[in-house]
Amino acid sequence: MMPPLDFVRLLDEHGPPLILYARQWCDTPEDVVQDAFLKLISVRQAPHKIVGWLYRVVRNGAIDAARTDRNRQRREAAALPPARWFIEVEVDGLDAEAAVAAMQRLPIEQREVIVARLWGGLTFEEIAEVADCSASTAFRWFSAGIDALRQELGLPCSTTRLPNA
Amino acid sequence: MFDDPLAKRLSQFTPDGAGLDRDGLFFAAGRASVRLSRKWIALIGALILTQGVTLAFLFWPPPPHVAPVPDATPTVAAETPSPRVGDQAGMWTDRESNFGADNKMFPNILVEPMIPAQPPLRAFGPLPADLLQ
Repeated sequence: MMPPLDFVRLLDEHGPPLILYARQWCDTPEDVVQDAFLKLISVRQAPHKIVGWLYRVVRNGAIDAARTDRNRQRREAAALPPARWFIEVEVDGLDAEAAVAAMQRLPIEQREVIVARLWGGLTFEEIAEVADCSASTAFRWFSAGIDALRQELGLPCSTTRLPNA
Repeated sequence: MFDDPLAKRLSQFTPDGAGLDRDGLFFAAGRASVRLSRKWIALIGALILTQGVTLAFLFWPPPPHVAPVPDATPTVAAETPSPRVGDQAGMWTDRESNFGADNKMFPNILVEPMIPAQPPLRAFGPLPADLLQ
């Protein structure tokens, strides 16, 4: 049984990134993440790698939710405002809406790896376990996705930081 | 952490977790964490079973009373024949034992006078002779 303080810390630290991760597939990511945490409480023996286990459960739940709620999502898409991915509106001259729009145009494999790596803090080996691929494939998808985002956002391929717009 | 500047800038965004109901999740997690052990489940099951059996015994309608069917073959009891009412010899025997030969009832009982005849009872003793003269 997981101590309550560990559960709170895990929820505060990984809850928002997990929501963002689940959002790559479905429009009800909060429900999926909540179900994943409840499953974590219900399991008789805590998994060895809790964070990786949570990402895998959230991934499966989000894919299932996307399958079952696809029709409902289509109907409600026009009525609901677009979900906010990030708290900040702008970071270091990078507009959040533009970044989100560029990410949404990426293939799901690249988006998944970028989110898990940048905001989930998972290593490429952990991502490979979650996404059922090799670590090299995960790294390749990540690199390709970052390059595509750079092109989408009109940023030069350089290591120097751009001045604020 | 990230060598690529774009990756570094993107990672500075904070994912929005406002849609997560923390209180509701903690409440649901608290409920989900309570597990009923198998011993308690077995005990509860046994109590339910015994309670059901008890109630069944209490409220089950009793079976209808069925009168015992007599046996078809009559049994002949070996009875000793009672003396006939008109048996004269028996009657006379009883009379003689009660009245005796002198035709008195209870002849063997000795009847004594309850108060002896002599001497007569007086309130005082006999009077002195000088007084009588």
